[in-house]
Amino acid sequence: MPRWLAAGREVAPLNATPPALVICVKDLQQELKTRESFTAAFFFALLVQLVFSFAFDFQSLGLGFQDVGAGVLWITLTFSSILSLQNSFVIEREKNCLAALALCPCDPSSVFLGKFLANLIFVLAVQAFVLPISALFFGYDLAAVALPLSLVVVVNAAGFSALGTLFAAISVRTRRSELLLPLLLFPAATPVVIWGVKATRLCLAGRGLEAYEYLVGLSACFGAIFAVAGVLLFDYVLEE
Amino acid sequence: MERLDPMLRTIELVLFPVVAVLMVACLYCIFCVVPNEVTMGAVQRIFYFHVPSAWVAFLGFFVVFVASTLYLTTRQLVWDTLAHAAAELGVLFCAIVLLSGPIWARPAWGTWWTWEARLTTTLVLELVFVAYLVLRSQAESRDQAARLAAVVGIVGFLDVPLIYFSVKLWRGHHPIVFKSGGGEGLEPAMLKTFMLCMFTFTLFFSLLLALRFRLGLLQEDLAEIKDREMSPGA
Repeated sequence: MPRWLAAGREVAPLNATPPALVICVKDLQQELKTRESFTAAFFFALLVQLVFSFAFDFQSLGLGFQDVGAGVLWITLTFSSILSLQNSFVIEREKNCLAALALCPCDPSSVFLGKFLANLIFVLAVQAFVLPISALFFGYDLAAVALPLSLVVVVNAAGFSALGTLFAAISVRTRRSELLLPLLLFPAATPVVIWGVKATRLCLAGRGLEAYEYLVGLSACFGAIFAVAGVLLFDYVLEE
Repeated sequence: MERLDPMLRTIELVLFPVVAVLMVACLYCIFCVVPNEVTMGAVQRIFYFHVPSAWVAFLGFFVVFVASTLYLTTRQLVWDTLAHAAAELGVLFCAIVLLSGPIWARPAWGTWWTWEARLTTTLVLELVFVAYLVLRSQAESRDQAARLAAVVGIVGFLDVPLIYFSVKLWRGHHPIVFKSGGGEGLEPAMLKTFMLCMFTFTLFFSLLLALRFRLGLLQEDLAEIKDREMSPGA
Protein backbone atom coordinates (compact mmCIF):
# COMPACT_ATOMS: atom_id res chain seq x y z
CA MET A 1 0.00 0.00 0.00
CA PRO A 2 1.41 3.42 -0.90
CA ARG A 3 2.61 5.41 2.04
CA TRP A 4 0.23 8.35 1.46
CA LEU A 5 -2.80 6.11 1.35
CA ALA A 6 -1.84 4.30 4.52
CA ALA A 7 -1.23 7.62 6.23
CA GLY A 8 -4.65 8.84 5.13
CA ARG A 9 -6.28 5.75 6.60
CA GLU A 10 -4.68 6.35 9.94
CA VAL A 11 -5.91 9.92 10.09
CA ALA A 12 -9.50 9.32 9.14
CA PRO A 13 -10.56 5.71 9.47
CA LEU A 14 -14.31 6.32 9.87
CA ASN A 15 -14.90 9.64 8.23
CA ALA A 16 -13.96 8.14 4.88
CA THR A 17 -17.50 6.80 4.26
CA PRO A 18 -20.42 9.20 4.57
CA PRO A 19 -22.60 8.33 7.60
CA ALA A 20 -25.69 7.97 5.42
CA LEU A 21 -23.99 5.15 3.56
CA VAL A 22 -22.92 3.49 6.82
CA ILE A 23 -26.53 3.46 8.03
CA CYS A 24 -27.78 2.18 4.68
CA VAL A 25 -25.24 -0.66 4.66
CA LYS A 26 -26.08 -1.51 8.27
CA ASP A 27 -29.76 -1.88 7.38
CA LEU A 28 -29.07 -3.95 4.31
CA GLN A 29 -26.66 -6.23 6.20
CA GLN A 30 -29.22 -6.75 8.92
CA GLU A 31 -31.81 -7.63 6.29
CA LEU A 32 -29.43 -10.01 4.54
CA LYS A 33 -28.86 -11.84 7.82
CA THR A 34 -32.50 -12.21 8.84
CA ARG A 35 -34.38 -11.85 5.52
CA GLU A 36 -37.47 -11.19 7.66
CA SER A 37 -38.66 -8.13 5.87
CA PHE A 38 -37.95 -9.39 2.37
CA THR A 39 -39.75 -12.68 2.83
CA ALA A 40 -42.78 -10.94 4.28
CA ALA A 41 -42.91 -8.25 1.58
CA PHE A 42 -42.33 -10.70 -1.24
CA PHE A 43 -45.01 -13.16 -0.23
CA PHE A 44 -47.37 -10.36 0.60
CA ALA A 45 -46.86 -9.01 -2.94
CA LEU A 46 -47.63 -12.44 -4.36
CA LEU A 47 -50.78 -12.66 -2.25
CA VAL A 48 -51.94 -9.28 -3.52
CA GLN A 49 -51.57 -10.55 -7.07
CA LEU A 50 -53.51 -13.67 -6.19
CA VAL A 51 -56.35 -11.58 -4.78
CA PHE A 52 -56.23 -9.51 -7.94
CA SER A 53 -56.63 -12.48 -10.20
CA PHE A 54 -59.65 -13.62 -8.15
CA ALA A 55 -61.11 -10.14 -8.00
CA PHE A 56 -60.87 -9.33 -11.69
CA ASP A 57 -60.95 -12.76 -13.30
CA PHE A 58 -58.63 -11.72 -16.14
CA GLN A 59 -58.90 -14.79 -18.30
CA SER A 60 -62.67 -14.98 -18.66
CA LEU A 61 -62.95 -11.21 -19.09
CA GLY A 62 -60.13 -11.24 -21.66
CA LEU A 63 -58.11 -8.52 -19.93
CA GLY A 64 -54.42 -8.33 -20.82
CA PHE A 65 -51.53 -7.25 -18.65
CA GLN A 66 -51.22 -4.00 -20.62
CA ASP A 67 -54.77 -3.10 -19.49
CA VAL A 68 -54.53 -3.87 -15.81
CA GLY A 69 -50.79 -4.31 -15.25
CA ALA A 70 -50.21 -0.71 -14.19
CA GLY A 71 -52.84 -0.97 -11.48
CA VAL A 72 -51.67 -4.40 -10.31
CA LEU A 73 -48.09 -3.23 -10.19
CA TRP A 74 -48.73 -0.08 -8.20
CA ILE A 75 -51.06 -1.62 -5.67
CA THR A 76 -48.52 -4.40 -5.10
CA LEU A 77 -45.68 -1.91 -4.82
CA THR A 78 -47.41 0.45 -2.40
CA PHE A 79 -48.82 -2.31 -0.20
CA SER A 80 -45.61 -4.29 0.06
CA SER A 81 -43.57 -1.10 0.58
CA ILE A 82 -45.67 -0.25 3.61
CA LEU A 83 -44.45 -3.47 5.24
CA SER A 84 -40.78 -2.75 4.63
CA LEU A 85 -41.01 0.96 5.48
CA GLN A 86 -42.64 0.04 8.76
CA ASN A 87 -40.06 -2.58 9.52
CA SER A 88 -37.11 -0.29 8.81
CA PHE A 89 -38.00 1.73 11.92
CA VAL A 90 -39.66 -0.94 14.02
CA ILE A 91 -36.32 -2.82 14.16
CA GLU A 92 -34.80 0.32 15.63
CA ARG A 93 -37.39 0.47 18.38
CA GLU A 94 -36.10 -2.75 19.94
CA LYS A 95 -33.56 -2.15 22.69
CA ASN A 96 -34.08 1.56 22.10
CA CYS A 97 -31.86 1.71 19.02
CA LEU A 98 -33.76 4.81 17.95
CA ALA A 99 -32.12 6.72 20.76
CA ALA A 100 -28.75 5.36 19.64
CA LEU A 101 -29.46 6.54 16.10
CA ALA A 102 -30.38 9.96 17.41
CA LEU A 103 -27.10 10.05 19.35
CA CYS A 104 -25.03 9.20 16.27
CA PRO A 105 -22.22 11.71 15.87
CA CYS A 106 -23.59 12.82 12.51
CA ASP A 107 -26.23 15.11 11.15
CA PRO A 108 -29.81 13.75 11.58
CA SER A 109 -30.32 14.24 7.86
CA SER A 110 -27.70 11.51 7.28
CA VAL A 111 -29.90 9.09 9.23
CA PHE A 112 -32.81 10.03 6.99
CA LEU A 113 -30.78 9.66 3.80
CA GLY A 114 -29.36 6.31 4.92
CA LYS A 115 -32.77 4.93 5.81
CA PHE A 116 -34.26 6.31 2.60
CA LEU A 117 -31.56 4.70 0.49
CA ALA A 118 -31.92 1.34 2.24
CA ASN A 119 -35.72 1.47 1.85
CA LEU A 120 -35.45 2.32 -1.82
CA ILE A 121 -33.02 -0.52 -2.52
CA PHE A 122 -35.30 -2.83 -0.61
CA VAL A 123 -38.46 -1.83 -2.48
CA LEU A 124 -36.65 -2.22 -5.79
CA ALA A 125 -35.29 -5.63 -4.81
CA VAL A 126 -38.81 -6.85 -4.04
CA GLN A 127 -40.05 -5.45 -7.35
CA ALA A 128 -37.21 -7.12 -9.22
CA PHE A 129 -38.67 -10.45 -8.14
CA VAL A 130 -42.35 -9.59 -8.26
CA LEU A 131 -42.46 -7.96 -11.70
CA PRO A 132 -41.21 -10.97 -13.69
CA ILE A 133 -43.51 -13.26 -11.73
CA SER A 134 -46.52 -11.06 -12.41
CA ALA A 135 -45.63 -10.91 -16.12
CA LEU A 136 -45.49 -14.70 -16.01
CA PHE A 137 -48.86 -14.91 -14.25
CA PHE A 138 -50.57 -12.63 -16.72
CA GLY A 139 -48.70 -13.81 -19.82
CA TYR A 140 -46.94 -10.61 -20.80
CA ASP A 141 -43.62 -10.11 -22.61
CA LEU A 142 -41.79 -7.99 -20.06
CA ALA A 143 -38.42 -8.06 -21.81
CA ALA A 144 -39.64 -5.69 -24.53
CA VAL A 145 -40.33 -2.85 -22.09
CA ALA A 146 -37.88 -3.78 -19.33
CA LEU A 147 -35.68 -0.69 -19.60
CA PRO A 148 -38.28 2.11 -19.71
CA LEU A 149 -40.38 0.27 -17.12
CA SER A 150 -37.40 0.09 -14.74
CA LEU A 151 -36.93 3.84 -15.13
CA VAL A 152 -40.59 4.52 -14.24
CA VAL A 153 -40.49 2.14 -11.27
CA VAL A 154 -37.19 3.49 -9.90
CA VAL A 155 -38.24 7.15 -10.08
CA ASN A 156 -41.68 6.62 -8.58
CA ALA A 157 -40.46 4.20 -5.93
CA ALA A 158 -37.90 6.85 -4.93
CA GLY A 159 -40.67 9.43 -4.45
CA PHE A 160 -42.80 6.99 -2.49
CA SER A 161 -39.88 5.92 -0.29
CA ALA A 162 -38.78 9.50 0.44
CA LEU A 163 -42.17 10.42 1.86
CA GLY A 164 -42.61 6.94 3.33
CA THR A 165 -39.33 7.06 5.25
CA LEU A 166 -40.27 10.38 6.85
CA PHE A 167 -43.76 9.16 7.79
CA ALA A 168 -42.52 5.78 9.01
CA ALA A 169 -40.13 7.57 11.37
CA ILE A 170 -43.05 9.66 12.62
CA SER A 171 -45.50 6.79 13.04
CA VAL A 172 -43.01 4.52 14.83
CA ARG A 173 -42.96 7.06 17.66
CA THR A 174 -46.65 6.64 18.34
CA ARG A 175 -48.57 3.95 20.18
CA ARG A 176 -50.15 2.30 17.12
CA SER A 177 -47.53 2.67 14.44
CA GLU A 178 -48.91 -0.09 12.19
CA LEU A 179 -52.21 1.68 12.06
CA LEU A 180 -50.93 5.14 11.44
CA LEU A 181 -48.42 4.71 8.61
CA PRO A 182 -50.87 3.72 5.84
CA LEU A 183 -53.30 6.34 7.09
CA LEU A 184 -50.64 9.03 6.75
CA LEU A 185 -48.82 7.81 3.69
CA PHE A 186 -51.55 6.73 1.24
CA PRO A 187 -53.37 10.04 0.88
CA ALA A 188 -50.17 12.08 0.88
CA ALA A 189 -48.56 9.84 -1.74
CA THR A 190 -51.51 10.19 -4.15
CA PRO A 191 -49.56 12.26 -6.73
CA VAL A 192 -46.74 9.78 -7.11
CA VAL A 193 -49.17 6.86 -7.40
CA ILE A 194 -51.26 8.65 -10.04
CA TRP A 195 -48.20 9.61 -12.10
CA GLY A 196 -46.70 6.16 -11.63
CA VAL A 197 -49.84 4.35 -12.80
CA LYS A 198 -50.24 6.64 -15.78
CA ALA A 199 -46.61 6.33 -16.90
CA THR A 200 -46.64 2.56 -16.37
CA ARG A 201 -49.79 2.17 -18.43
CA LEU A 202 -48.25 4.09 -21.36
CA CYS A 203 -45.05 2.13 -20.96
CA LEU A 204 -46.79 -1.26 -20.97
CA ALA A 205 -48.79 -0.22 -24.03
CA GLY A 206 -45.47 0.05 -25.84
CA ARG A 207 -45.47 3.85 -26.23
CA GLY A 208 -42.16 5.70 -26.56
CA LEU A 209 -40.50 7.52 -23.68
CA GLU A 210 -41.56 10.91 -25.06
CA ALA A 211 -45.20 10.00 -24.32
CA TYR A 212 -44.64 9.89 -20.57
CA GLU A 213 -41.34 11.59 -19.85
CA TYR A 214 -43.20 14.56 -18.31
CA LEU A 215 -44.82 12.16 -15.83
CA VAL A 216 -41.45 10.72 -14.88
CA GLY A 217 -40.16 14.29 -14.49
CA LEU A 218 -43.05 15.20 -12.21
CA SER A 219 -42.46 12.12 -10.05
CA ALA A 220 -38.79 13.01 -9.83
CA CYS A 221 -39.79 16.49 -8.61
CA PHE A 222 -42.10 14.92 -6.01
CA GLY A 223 -39.23 12.74 -4.80
CA ALA A 224 -36.86 15.71 -4.68
CA ILE A 225 -39.34 17.89 -2.73
CA PHE A 226 -39.95 15.30 -0.05
CA ALA A 227 -36.32 14.18 0.13
CA VAL A 228 -35.42 17.82 0.89
CA ALA A 229 -38.34 18.08 3.34
CA GLY A 230 -37.08 14.90 5.02
CA VAL A 231 -33.53 16.21 5.26
CA LEU A 232 -34.76 19.48 6.79
CA LEU A 233 -37.39 18.04 9.15
CA PHE A 234 -35.84 14.75 10.28
CA ASP A 235 -34.07 16.45 13.16
CA TYR A 236 -37.45 17.16 14.80
CA VAL A 237 -38.68 13.62 14.24
CA LEU A 238 -35.62 11.97 15.75
CA GLU A 239 -35.58 14.15 18.85
CA GLU A 240 -36.52 12.42 22.12
CA MET B 1 -51.40 32.53 28.16
CA GLU B 2 -52.22 35.36 30.61
CA ARG B 3 -52.11 37.86 27.78
CA LEU B 4 -53.79 35.61 25.25
CA ASP B 5 -56.87 34.75 27.25
CA PRO B 6 -58.39 38.26 27.55
CA MET B 7 -57.46 38.97 23.94
CA LEU B 8 -59.28 35.87 22.70
CA ARG B 9 -62.27 36.70 24.92
CA THR B 10 -62.48 40.17 23.39
CA ILE B 11 -62.31 38.73 19.88
CA GLU B 12 -65.12 36.32 20.72
CA LEU B 13 -67.29 39.03 22.29
CA VAL B 14 -66.87 41.30 19.27
CA LEU B 15 -67.23 38.62 16.60
CA PHE B 16 -70.17 36.73 18.04
CA PRO B 17 -72.89 39.37 17.49
CA VAL B 18 -71.36 40.44 14.16
CA VAL B 19 -71.33 36.87 12.81
CA ALA B 20 -74.84 36.22 14.12
CA VAL B 21 -76.26 39.26 12.31
CA LEU B 22 -74.27 38.61 9.12
CA MET B 23 -75.30 34.97 9.01
CA VAL B 24 -78.99 35.92 9.14
CA ALA B 25 -78.33 38.52 6.43
CA CYS B 26 -76.64 35.82 4.31
CA LEU B 27 -79.60 33.48 4.66
CA TYR B 28 -81.99 36.28 3.79
CA CYS B 29 -79.97 37.15 0.67
CA ILE B 30 -79.62 33.52 -0.41
CA PHE B 31 -83.29 32.64 -0.09
CA CYS B 32 -85.08 35.94 -0.69
CA VAL B 33 -82.86 38.23 -2.77
CA VAL B 34 -80.85 36.32 -5.38
CA PRO B 35 -82.71 35.11 -8.48
CA ASN B 36 -82.81 31.46 -9.48
CA GLU B 37 -79.94 30.29 -11.61
CA VAL B 38 -81.15 29.66 -15.18
CA THR B 39 -79.87 26.13 -15.80
CA MET B 40 -79.39 24.70 -12.32
CA GLY B 41 -82.39 26.21 -10.54
CA ALA B 42 -82.84 26.60 -6.80
CA VAL B 43 -80.23 24.01 -5.88
CA GLN B 44 -77.49 26.35 -7.07
CA ARG B 45 -78.05 28.29 -3.82
CA ILE B 46 -76.02 25.65 -2.01
CA PHE B 47 -72.98 27.29 -3.54
CA TYR B 48 -73.26 30.32 -1.28
CA PHE B 49 -72.32 28.00 1.58
CA HIS B 50 -70.31 25.42 -0.32
CA VAL B 51 -67.62 27.65 -1.80
CA PRO B 52 -67.05 29.75 1.36
CA SER B 53 -66.68 26.49 3.33
CA ALA B 54 -64.03 25.33 0.88
CA TRP B 55 -62.18 28.63 1.16
CA VAL B 56 -62.31 28.52 4.96
CA ALA B 57 -61.11 24.89 5.02
CA PHE B 58 -58.08 25.83 2.94
CA LEU B 59 -57.51 28.84 5.18
CA GLY B 60 -57.55 26.45 8.15
CA PHE B 61 -54.91 24.20 6.58
CA PHE B 62 -52.81 27.25 5.80
CA VAL B 63 -53.02 28.30 9.47
CA VAL B 64 -51.89 24.76 10.40
CA PHE B 65 -48.87 25.17 8.13
CA VAL B 66 -47.90 28.60 9.50
CA ALA B 67 -48.48 27.62 13.15
CA SER B 68 -46.54 24.35 12.69
CA THR B 69 -43.58 26.21 11.21
CA LEU B 70 -43.69 28.73 14.05
CA TYR B 71 -43.87 25.92 16.61
CA LEU B 72 -40.78 24.18 15.20
CA THR B 73 -38.80 27.45 15.14
CA THR B 74 -39.90 28.90 18.52
CA ARG B 75 -40.86 25.70 20.43
CA GLN B 76 -43.73 27.46 22.15
CA LEU B 77 -46.65 25.11 22.71
CA VAL B 78 -49.10 27.94 22.08
CA TRP B 79 -48.43 27.62 18.35
CA ASP B 80 -49.12 23.93 18.48
CA THR B 81 -52.42 24.53 20.25
CA LEU B 82 -53.32 26.97 17.48
CA ALA B 83 -52.34 24.42 14.79
CA HIS B 84 -54.51 21.77 16.46
CA ALA B 85 -57.50 24.12 16.60
CA ALA B 86 -57.07 25.14 12.96
CA ALA B 87 -56.70 21.52 11.81
CA GLU B 88 -59.94 20.51 13.52
CA LEU B 89 -61.80 23.38 11.91
CA GLY B 90 -60.22 22.63 8.55
CA VAL B 91 -61.42 19.04 8.74
CA LEU B 92 -64.88 20.21 9.83
CA PHE B 93 -65.32 22.68 6.96
CA CYS B 94 -63.81 20.22 4.49
CA ALA B 95 -66.49 17.75 5.59
CA ILE B 96 -69.16 20.40 5.00
CA VAL B 97 -67.77 20.87 1.47
CA LEU B 98 -67.78 17.12 0.84
CA LEU B 99 -71.37 16.80 2.10
CA SER B 100 -72.87 19.84 0.42
CA GLY B 101 -71.15 19.11 -2.91
CA PRO B 102 -72.99 15.86 -3.67
CA ILE B 103 -76.35 17.39 -2.67
CA TRP B 104 -75.79 19.91 -5.43
CA ALA B 105 -74.14 17.48 -7.86
CA ARG B 106 -77.00 15.00 -7.85
CA PRO B 107 -79.54 17.31 -9.55
CA ALA B 108 -76.95 19.37 -11.48
CA TRP B 109 -74.64 16.67 -12.83
CA GLY B 110 -76.95 13.71 -12.37
CA THR B 111 -74.52 11.93 -10.07
CA TRP B 112 -73.63 12.12 -6.38
CA TRP B 113 -69.93 11.90 -6.93
CA THR B 114 -67.52 12.19 -9.81
CA TRP B 115 -63.75 11.65 -9.75
CA GLU B 116 -62.92 15.15 -10.79
CA ALA B 117 -59.87 17.23 -9.83
CA ARG B 118 -61.34 19.56 -7.21
CA LEU B 119 -63.53 16.91 -5.61
CA THR B 120 -60.76 14.37 -5.43
CA THR B 121 -58.26 16.91 -4.08
CA THR B 122 -60.69 17.94 -1.35
CA LEU B 123 -61.27 14.32 -0.39
CA VAL B 124 -57.53 13.51 -0.31
CA LEU B 125 -56.87 16.66 1.69
CA GLU B 126 -59.55 15.70 4.20
CA LEU B 127 -57.90 12.29 4.59
CA VAL B 128 -54.43 13.85 5.09
CA PHE B 129 -55.68 16.04 7.91
CA VAL B 130 -57.81 13.33 9.48
CA ALA B 131 -54.55 11.33 9.66
CA TYR B 132 -52.96 14.42 11.25
CA LEU B 133 -55.62 14.40 13.98
CA VAL B 134 -55.26 10.62 14.50
CA LEU B 135 -51.50 11.09 14.85
CA ARG B 136 -52.06 13.68 17.57
CA SER B 137 -54.28 11.34 19.52
CA GLN B 138 -51.76 8.48 19.24
CA ALA B 139 -48.65 10.34 20.41
CA GLU B 140 -47.06 9.36 23.68
CA SER B 141 -46.53 12.81 25.16
CA ARG B 142 -47.66 16.38 24.66
CA ASP B 143 -44.30 17.57 23.29
CA GLN B 144 -44.02 14.61 20.98
CA ALA B 145 -47.52 15.15 19.62
CA ALA B 146 -46.63 18.76 18.93
CA ARG B 147 -43.35 17.95 17.17
CA LEU B 148 -44.58 15.07 15.01
CA ALA B 149 -47.85 16.81 14.15
CA ALA B 150 -45.94 19.94 13.11
CA VAL B 151 -43.86 17.90 10.65
CA VAL B 152 -47.00 16.28 9.19
CA GLY B 153 -48.75 19.67 9.08
CA ILE B 154 -45.93 21.15 7.03
CA VAL B 155 -45.54 18.14 4.72
CA GLY B 156 -49.31 17.89 4.26
CA PHE B 157 -49.57 21.50 3.21
CA LEU B 158 -46.65 21.18 0.77
CA ASP B 159 -48.53 18.25 -0.70
CA VAL B 160 -51.69 20.24 -1.52
CA PRO B 161 -50.57 21.78 -4.86
CA LEU B 162 -49.00 18.48 -5.90
CA ILE B 163 -52.19 16.55 -5.20
CA TYR B 164 -54.27 19.10 -7.07
CA PHE B 165 -51.95 19.09 -10.05
CA SER B 166 -51.72 15.31 -10.20
CA VAL B 167 -55.47 14.78 -9.99
CA LYS B 168 -56.00 17.43 -12.65
CA LEU B 169 -53.68 15.53 -14.98
CA TRP B 170 -55.49 12.33 -14.14
CA ARG B 171 -59.03 13.58 -14.70
CA GLY B 172 -60.46 16.26 -16.98
CA HIS B 173 -61.89 19.65 -16.23
CA HIS B 174 -64.28 21.01 -13.68
CA PRO B 175 -67.44 22.69 -14.94
CA ILE B 176 -66.84 26.31 -14.05
CA VAL B 177 -69.55 27.51 -11.75
CA PHE B 178 -68.49 31.10 -11.27
CA LYS B 179 -66.92 32.50 -14.40
CA SER B 180 -63.94 34.71 -13.71
CA GLY B 181 -63.65 37.56 -16.21
CA GLY B 182 -65.13 37.86 -19.68
CA GLY B 183 -68.53 36.73 -20.90
CA GLU B 184 -71.81 37.64 -19.30
CA GLY B 185 -70.37 37.33 -15.83
CA LEU B 186 -72.45 36.95 -12.72
CA GLU B 187 -75.73 38.60 -11.94
CA PRO B 188 -74.81 41.53 -9.60
CA ALA B 189 -77.11 40.32 -6.81
CA MET B 190 -75.49 36.89 -6.98
CA LEU B 191 -71.99 38.27 -6.85
CA LYS B 192 -72.82 40.54 -3.92
CA THR B 193 -74.45 37.70 -1.98
CA PHE B 194 -71.52 35.45 -2.75
CA MET B 195 -69.04 38.06 -1.50
CA LEU B 196 -71.13 38.60 1.64
CA CYS B 197 -71.09 34.85 2.30
CA MET B 198 -67.32 34.66 1.80
CA PHE B 199 -66.84 37.52 4.27
CA THR B 200 -69.26 36.05 6.80
CA PHE B 201 -67.65 32.62 6.66
CA THR B 202 -64.20 34.10 7.14
CA LEU B 203 -65.41 35.87 10.29
CA PHE B 204 -67.29 32.74 11.39
CA PHE B 205 -64.08 30.74 11.00
CA SER B 206 -62.14 33.34 13.00
CA LEU B 207 -64.72 33.17 15.77
CA LEU B 208 -64.62 29.37 15.93
CA LEU B 209 -60.83 29.41 15.80
CA ALA B 210 -60.66 31.84 18.72
CA LEU B 211 -63.09 29.67 20.71
CA ARG B 212 -61.27 26.42 19.96
CA PHE B 213 -57.88 28.01 20.58
CA ARG B 214 -58.96 29.29 23.99
CA LEU B 215 -60.46 25.89 24.80
CA GLY B 216 -57.12 24.26 23.92
CA LEU B 217 -55.26 26.68 26.19
CA LEU B 218 -57.68 25.93 29.04
CA GLN B 219 -57.23 22.19 28.49
CA GLU B 220 -53.51 22.66 28.82
CA ASP B 221 -53.91 24.62 32.04
CA LEU B 222 -56.11 21.88 33.41
CA ALA B 223 -53.59 19.18 32.49
CA GLU B 224 -50.88 21.20 34.24
CA ILE B 225 -52.95 21.55 37.41
CA LYS B 226 -53.72 17.83 37.41
CA ASP B 227 -50.03 17.04 37.00
CA ARG B 228 -49.17 19.26 39.93
CA GLU B 229 -51.76 17.56 42.14
CA MET B 230 -50.59 14.09 41.20
CA SER B 231 -47.03 14.89 42.28
CA PRO B 232 -47.29 17.33 45.20
CA GLY B 233 -43.63 16.98 46.05
CA ALA B 234 -42.45 18.32 42.69
